[in-house]
Amino acid sequence: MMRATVVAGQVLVANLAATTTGDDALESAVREHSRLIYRVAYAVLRNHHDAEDATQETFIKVLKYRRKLSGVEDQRTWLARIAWRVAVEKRKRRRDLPLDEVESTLSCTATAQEVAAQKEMATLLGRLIDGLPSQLQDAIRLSTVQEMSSSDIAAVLEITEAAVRSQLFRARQLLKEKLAGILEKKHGS
Amino acid sequence: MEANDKLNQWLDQALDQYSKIEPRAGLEMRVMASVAAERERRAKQRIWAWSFAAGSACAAIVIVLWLGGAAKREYSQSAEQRSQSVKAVTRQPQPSTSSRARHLEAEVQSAKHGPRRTRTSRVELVSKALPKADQFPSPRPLSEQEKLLLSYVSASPRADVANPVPAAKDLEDLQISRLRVTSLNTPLLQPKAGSGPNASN
Repeated sequence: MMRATVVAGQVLVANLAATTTGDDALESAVREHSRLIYRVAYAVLRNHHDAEDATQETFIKVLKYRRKLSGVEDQRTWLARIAWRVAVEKRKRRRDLPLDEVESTLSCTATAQEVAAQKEMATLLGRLIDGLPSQLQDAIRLSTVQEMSSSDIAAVLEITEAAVRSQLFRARQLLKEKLAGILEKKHGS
Repeated sequence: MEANDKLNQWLDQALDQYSKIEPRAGLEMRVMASVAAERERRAKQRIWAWSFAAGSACAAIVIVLWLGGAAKREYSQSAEQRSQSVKAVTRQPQPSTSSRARHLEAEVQSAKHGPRRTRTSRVELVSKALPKADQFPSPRPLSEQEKLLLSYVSASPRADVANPVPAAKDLEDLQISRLRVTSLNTPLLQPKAGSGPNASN
């Protein structure tokens, strides 16, 4: 009876330690990677509020596996993959595609003209990317996140790095063709 | 060529700016707050789940105990009924002997406390089951023949019933005529004249 009590106590202490360690690991993950997660979500959702919701949802999902978090080799890519899936699911559920928002946090010193120009450019590019095949859309959107390399994109999309490079190349070609067509129409008119 | 370079330049710039976005200040604090709230919610859920499980387990134990008690009561009632039926058998008008009384008592005991596992032969079991009567054959209701006899006895005079056989004196008065046997004269039996064993042809 005594021995069972001691064993149960040891298990409880171990669980508590694991929980505490897991909580600490989760907290440090939030501090280190929340910005990356947010940008990955924004690349898909193109909306500040939805991107923040997706970021919170990502870490709530991670809460379930917080005890295993310290054992994960590449936390950054692992979190980015979760964030990507959450954002894609959220985008599917959303009916109306929002207009691209360009935060004024780009630069405090940016003039109104610069902001307007950037906004126009982002809107146009967003529409061009939406017109691409879905496979190419995923690759090109993730490539816009500065912190993501080709290997990171390959890990998130669960494809090879060569496939990522090939898809990015094709995506850029198609975007240039579409852009050229738009510019021709513009100059022609 | 120039156009192509310009397109490339524009595309690079656009892609560079596409996700170059900074989150609002305090994102980390908000994320940690939502994670803490979720953790609390899950802990409460676990408490509710454990409470429900414990309550269900207690309810199941109570039901099992109650059913067990009901079964016991039913068994004791049936045992009582059996003992009562044995008592009814013992109340029949038969002079009880000491050995039979002992048999019956054993039967009552077994009815009360349940059957004892003893090796008894079939004959013994049958003899135990049947009550031993002093009178043989055991009294039974009158048959039709007996009823008829009773009615005759009640209807007839007493003398006839008491003396169905006549007395010797009466027998003496009885006279029977002497028996006479006459010969028979039949032509076949009378011998003819001239016929016989010595008669010649």
